[in-house]
Amino acid sequence: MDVSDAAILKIYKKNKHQGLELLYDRYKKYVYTIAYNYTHNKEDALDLTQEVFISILKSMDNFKEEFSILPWVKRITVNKCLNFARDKKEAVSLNQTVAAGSEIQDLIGAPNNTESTTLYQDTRQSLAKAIKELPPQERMALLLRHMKGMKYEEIARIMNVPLGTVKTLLHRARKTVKVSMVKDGIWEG
Amino acid sequence: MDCKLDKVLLQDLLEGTIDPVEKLFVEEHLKTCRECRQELTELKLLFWDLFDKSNYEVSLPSELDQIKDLILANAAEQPAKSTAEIICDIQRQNIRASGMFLDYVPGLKTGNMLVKESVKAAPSAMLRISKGLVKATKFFLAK
Ligand SMILES: [Zn+2]
Repeated sequence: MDVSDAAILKIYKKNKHQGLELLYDRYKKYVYTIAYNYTHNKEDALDLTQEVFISILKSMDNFKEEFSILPWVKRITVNKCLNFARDKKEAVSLNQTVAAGSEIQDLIGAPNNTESTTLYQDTRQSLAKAIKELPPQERMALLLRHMKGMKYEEIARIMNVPLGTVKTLLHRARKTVKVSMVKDGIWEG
Repeated sequence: MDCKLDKVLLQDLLEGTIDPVEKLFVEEHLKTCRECRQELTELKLLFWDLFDKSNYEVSLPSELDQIKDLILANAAEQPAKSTAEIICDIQRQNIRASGMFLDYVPGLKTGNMLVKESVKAAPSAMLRISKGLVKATKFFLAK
């Protein structure tokens, strides 16, 4: 059953538990899908989903009925993802001595290994691999534009960057992804 | 192969974000530049794949339901905490601090049944600890 944002807020006023449950069911797929495509890791995506909804429930009482929930869910999801990238990077540098090379190698990829690139024949896999390696902001801009079909203005608003920055992020991201996919021979007939 | 055209303009052409004057210029340029025609073809293929929704589809894991339980338990208003709850909170914090992923186990407020349910799907190391937790709760609640 799909319940509108307005209905959810009305229900929440009367019964918090029920309201939150409806809100979670309505937006869990939205949040998880962005988080998963951003991290390409199930555990990370679950962690992020949890963080997003905890943040939502914390500010739920201040929410005005005349606003719709979706823009707010979008913004929190994007912020959590971008901050998550920052946390993760710090964690990696801290654990560098523990993770004996191999994990870090997985994370940053192996650019000199030309043989491994031919393994990526599948479009989806190749695309995912290329997106995964983009810098956080480029990755997010690309996902919002192409996966979510957002307009540039909306991306600028949600990511809290100037319109020109969105364009630059997208230009760079697409260029990198294209080079990677050409290298994988994805479009060769 | 040394065309100086800024290839970014070709992305903008496909996105429709190109300035009208530049658009005329680029269209004229494409008539005579093989390199840019090749680049445009690749970009069209890229855009096709980037806008293809099926490339981003994910299956929703069952853990999402456990997160829901946890969030709802967190949100449930807590009047004065009972001794049992406080002790369990401390225990939960200890477990969390020791690096166990108890985050996905619903809070105790939703009852032991839920803890047991979610534990079924959990790794064995967590199973042991959570069983202890369930026992502890029973003990204190019995008091
Ligand atoms: Zn050219």
